[in-house]
Amino acid sequence: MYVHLNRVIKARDLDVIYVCGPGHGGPAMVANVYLEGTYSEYYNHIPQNELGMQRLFKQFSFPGGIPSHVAPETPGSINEGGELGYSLSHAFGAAFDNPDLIAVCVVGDGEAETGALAAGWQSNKFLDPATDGVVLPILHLNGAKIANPTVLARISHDELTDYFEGLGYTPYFVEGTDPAKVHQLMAATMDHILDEIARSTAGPGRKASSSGRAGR
Amino acid sequence: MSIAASSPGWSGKEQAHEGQVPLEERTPLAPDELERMIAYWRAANYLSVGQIYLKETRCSGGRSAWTTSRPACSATGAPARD
Repeated sequence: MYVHLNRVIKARDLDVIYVCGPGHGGPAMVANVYLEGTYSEYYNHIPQNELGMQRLFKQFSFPGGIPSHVAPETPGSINEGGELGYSLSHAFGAAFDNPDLIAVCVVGDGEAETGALAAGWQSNKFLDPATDGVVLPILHLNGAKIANPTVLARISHDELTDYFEGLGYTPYFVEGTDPAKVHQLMAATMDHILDEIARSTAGPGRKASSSGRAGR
Repeated sequence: MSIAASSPGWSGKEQAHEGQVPLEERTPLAPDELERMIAYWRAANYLSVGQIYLKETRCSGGRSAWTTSRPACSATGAPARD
């Protein structure tokens, strides 16, 4: 997701904020900022070599190390969030009165079962197309929460589509077993959604700010 | 990671657009870009999973990295019992 967003940010010169919702999803963001070099710039004792990787691995969720969520220690992090389930509300909050911003919010499907997140989808009713930015929620439908199957992964694609259309979204599904095909599909879906966003937000008469959602 | 085997690709209602190539048949990524993105994705996955499961890395050595795994952590960060 991170690298796909970087691709479209570079190609389209977008103003994007990434909201990382999944519980204990910290390692993914740490991995990305380490891989791109930012982490080693902030933390000289964790360079981009074998020693650095060993220290990076050991410090995770370890005494004196870093937590398992995107904590203040993560380079680029501006808000810890505090509790599971508030990512989507934060994304809408970032988009309000920020017309040039696209708030991309990756939502964990376990997180999606919290009351706060389940209600958070409704915030699209408060989004004013004339003065607010865009919220692009991406539901990471991996099917599991800690040690149990998730509710949203137990229902059919048709039912999911109906559910999200009822909430006012246009859902897109990005899934598969062949990495090359899934990467192409993710890129094609992002391009399509961003084209739709560009169309709907062009000019003063823009409308329909809240846009699609990709799940997998 | 569990990935669904069947893929409708994208919302069926969207597919009704005339003259549009379905999203799953589009190839916006050039071969070299796709290759580099897959390489990035694999590296990011290794770094993510490594943080959770590895005590140290041997990615450049002969030993399998997975022989140095640390006890799996539970949701609270406490070591798992098994």
